[in-house]
Amino acid sequence: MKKTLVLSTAILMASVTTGLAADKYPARDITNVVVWAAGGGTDLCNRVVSAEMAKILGVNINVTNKTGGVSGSIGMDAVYNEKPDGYTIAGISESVVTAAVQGGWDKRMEVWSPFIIGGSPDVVSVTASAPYKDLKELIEAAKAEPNKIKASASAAGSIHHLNLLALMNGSGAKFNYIPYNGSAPAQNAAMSGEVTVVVTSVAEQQQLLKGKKLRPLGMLTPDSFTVDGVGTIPSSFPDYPKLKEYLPISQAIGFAVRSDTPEDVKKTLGDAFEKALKSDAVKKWTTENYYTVSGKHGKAAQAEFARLESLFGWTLFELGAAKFSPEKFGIPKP
Amino acid sequence: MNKEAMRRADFKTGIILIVLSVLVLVETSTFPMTDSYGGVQNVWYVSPALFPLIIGGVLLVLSVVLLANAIREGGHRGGAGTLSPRRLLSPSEHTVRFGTILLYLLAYVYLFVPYVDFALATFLFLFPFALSFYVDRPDILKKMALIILGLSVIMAVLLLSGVWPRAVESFEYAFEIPLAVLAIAVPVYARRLIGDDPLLARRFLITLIVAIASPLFLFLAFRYGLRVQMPHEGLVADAAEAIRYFFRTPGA
Amino acid sequence: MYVIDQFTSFGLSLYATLISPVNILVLVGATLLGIIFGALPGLTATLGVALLTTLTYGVPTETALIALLSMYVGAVYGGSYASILINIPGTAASAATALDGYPLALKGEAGKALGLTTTASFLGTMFGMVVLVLLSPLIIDLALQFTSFEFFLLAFFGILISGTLSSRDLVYKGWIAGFIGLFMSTVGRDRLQFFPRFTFDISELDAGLEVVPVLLGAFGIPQIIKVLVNRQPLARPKEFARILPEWGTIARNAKHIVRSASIGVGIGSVPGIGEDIAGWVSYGVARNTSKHPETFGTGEVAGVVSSETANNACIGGALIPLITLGIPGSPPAAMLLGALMLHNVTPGPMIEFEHPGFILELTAILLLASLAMWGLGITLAKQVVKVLKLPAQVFMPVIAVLCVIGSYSLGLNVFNLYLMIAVGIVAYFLTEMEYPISPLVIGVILGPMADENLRRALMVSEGSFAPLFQRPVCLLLLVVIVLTVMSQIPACKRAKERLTDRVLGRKPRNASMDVD
Repeated sequence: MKKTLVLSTAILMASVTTGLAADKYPARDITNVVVWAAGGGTDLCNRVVSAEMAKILGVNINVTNKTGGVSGSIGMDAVYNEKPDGYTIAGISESVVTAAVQGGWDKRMEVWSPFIIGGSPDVVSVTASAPYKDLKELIEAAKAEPNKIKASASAAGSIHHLNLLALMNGSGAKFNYIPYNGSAPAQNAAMSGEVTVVVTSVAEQQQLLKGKKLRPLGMLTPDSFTVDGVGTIPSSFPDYPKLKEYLPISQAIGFAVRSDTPEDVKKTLGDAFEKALKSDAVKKWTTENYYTVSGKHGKAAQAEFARLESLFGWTLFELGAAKFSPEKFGIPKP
Repeated sequence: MNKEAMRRADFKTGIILIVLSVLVLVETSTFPMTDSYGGVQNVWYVSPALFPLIIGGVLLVLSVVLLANAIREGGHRGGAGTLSPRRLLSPSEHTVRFGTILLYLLAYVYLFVPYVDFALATFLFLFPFALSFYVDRPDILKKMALIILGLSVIMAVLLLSGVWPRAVESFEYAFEIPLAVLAIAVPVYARRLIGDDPLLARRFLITLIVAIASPLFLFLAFRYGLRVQMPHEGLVADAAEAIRYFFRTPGA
Repeated sequence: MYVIDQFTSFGLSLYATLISPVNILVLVGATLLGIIFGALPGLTATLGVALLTTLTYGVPTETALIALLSMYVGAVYGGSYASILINIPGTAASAATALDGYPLALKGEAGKALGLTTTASFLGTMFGMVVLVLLSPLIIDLALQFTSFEFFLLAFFGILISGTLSSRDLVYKGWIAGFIGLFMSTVGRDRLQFFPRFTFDISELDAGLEVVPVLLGAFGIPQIIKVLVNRQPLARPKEFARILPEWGTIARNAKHIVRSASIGVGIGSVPGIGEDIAGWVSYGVARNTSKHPETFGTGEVAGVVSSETANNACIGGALIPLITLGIPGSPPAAMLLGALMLHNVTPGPMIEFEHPGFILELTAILLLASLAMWGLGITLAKQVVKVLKLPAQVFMPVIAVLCVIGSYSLGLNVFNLYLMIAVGIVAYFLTEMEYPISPLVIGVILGPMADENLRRALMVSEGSFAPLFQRPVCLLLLVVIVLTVMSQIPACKRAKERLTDRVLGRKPRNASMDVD
């Protein structure tokens, strides 16, 4: 009795595994393991795009969240340890590039082949009651009194912090950086007047800009940006040409498969990815939420992540906030 | 616990807590005090050491008070007798029961759940655990615990030696199939032990039903109802997937 | 005028929601699921809302909102079931309910306690909802007064409250437990400078210890061990015909309900903290202001009512900053924010321009969800009490499995299981030595908030403590803190008594009689 049961189970299992492997990709549901918590920007982007890709691929894409570790290392490690068959993908953002220098895991970004959905550009804003009408006034005031004007920009080492640092380096102004645990509390502090300046993304600030709770001064991108009801926010580059040396540092939200995934699987995913980004649902979502769509995948996306990795790694190292030197992993200087 | 035993416990806890808080303070002293870190200006009040220093300090004071009170009330006397060889050889019933529970919880969380299919792992935990305490016969408690203890030791050895991961690499169910056999064998063996006491036989049946139904229900509800991945998906999860794809052809 | 307008459009929203049978089905179904989620130890409101977010992606916005809010309301309420019946809080929000709810159940009054919490939760939700509609502009102005100093004082107050939940053995055992919790909260990257503290190069410790596994370990595991080791049966309920709303008892506790509901809304509207703390603070305040604080912890009805009213009132409170500023007021509200953004609704000051009538729609759903919750609660409670007839020896191992899957599900992190068991074993020994466990959990929840905000506040003020005495909200919080501390010191209590005696013209009591 026992023997028959074991035998039949074994046969069933064997047939299932081989049966599935024989089919062409995708033959079963795909799992997207987002390394950040549910409800955040990375999670939302991945859910919206995964839903469209699922329609195109004809299978479900289950979006789950596996959080924790250093810069999303637990989630990345879990996906990395799965078979590179394209059935488990990692939902990531630019922040994961610091996992190695922060001691989270021992691999560089080259192990991934990312599909970059895009991100929202960063904007410099001030408290609504602040006296500064444009970026020049703010920078001049900051130059007159270095380290006096308080600025918030999410957590230390975050993308917004790097943007603030780039603004300081490019303009020569010195702000007193006050860290907050996330963009929402950083913006809250700017509203309540605890700090004067806040650097976060347009997507995160849009409601506060429209509601006149914050006043936008300039974009940290080469192009200006239009927000309904607020008008066009000018780029900061014309006034401070030196910014070009440091910026733009833009978000790169998306997902990734292991780079040793078979090429045909990557191609199937890439085609579905491109189609999904062109779909009405994704277009509507990205415009209404002020995301700039990138759509890079393959070599271009890998190059983008390599650039971010060296930028983040070396900046953190120079700030004394990295655990290991980027050299340890052979990460080149930006 | 009576007052005397309480003070003896306080005496020991006091010492442990003093050691702990001193360790906290020592570790904290390695934190950056006034030098900048992470691009944030630093002064004493910004230092990440500030809060742990306060906590460590207060904890130290509180544990000294605890220790002093325990000594004043005689807690330091007779405390050494707890680990006498006689007590180790014939532990009290309380200790045996507590040790058994600990064994089940540790085996389940540290060994079964991370490496074995969730439903299977849960059955292997739930059935002998609930049965031991529900049937409440010392011999069954002991025999079931020995099975789980043996299994845990074997699993730990296989995992630590690297045999487990290598075997699973070549055949996914290398260990799950023997475990599934064990999952069938344990109830059969337990039923024999119980004999023909009708009350215990009924309890056996209830335990068996609960131990089969609850893992299956939880697995199905979480995996398919709420789309939560299980810690480890193996035999049972793959079987469920196979059944699902039998009825639904993807890609169509 | 404003009020009448609000009410008319409110009626319209209510009507619009009610005419769709699908909506009603979703409403009742999600509330029921929420109650089940809350009632099962290990499954929390945050997890429930997070999981439903995924499932409701494809459905229309209104239906999704109904599902999510009903889940939220149901789960916060459902937590009281496990607290009362088996002394393992189903959610952090209802941990304070266990302190008096379980003793009530031991007396055979489980049915009565559940009836009371049902009505208290209902009234709390309604109160929060009314404040949301009528007072949200005012509350927001107040919430914007909260800078780092205020956040620090609030966290400090919460920690102080937990210190008053003292041990039966030695008073300072509560403080020891609290400081162990605070220490645990410092593990992981410090939030200001990103410096890793006490992580010992273990990458799982980098993000810090999560609250849910700590909570489940601290409350669940010791209870499971105790019941099994000591052959404790589950609390036997008295036979009763049906669960009554007990309007009489509710009316007698009106004072507690109003105060707790206000505390709940207030705490909910402060960004970052929510139901978990609201229940504790409300319970602590009820105990501290009571004429007979010694009855708390022995089955005091006022204690159960206070914590359950506050945690449900918190929902309305948490929605205020969420909707008007886009800042979630509690962890489940943070999930809700994500869900709204998925449906292209970005909450914030412009919400009424971009989505006219949105706030009222939300309120209408909240009203319906709390009605569904009340109806289901009153009907279900009697059936749920039957759970207590199950053999504890089979029931507790199943609870252990639930704790495992609950710790794992939010974040799919196996490390949280290891953490839960380790915390659980330590907590078992601590409870055996009569350390109260709640201060430990509160320490873990509030530690980072106190730490981060104190240091940031000093950073902003450049080392000066002056703002503590200059900012109005700070002063208010300071006064409350000083009063709480004074009420704990016997000498102050006696002085107060003497003062009231003298004012009332009574003869001062003999001083020697006060010495205990």
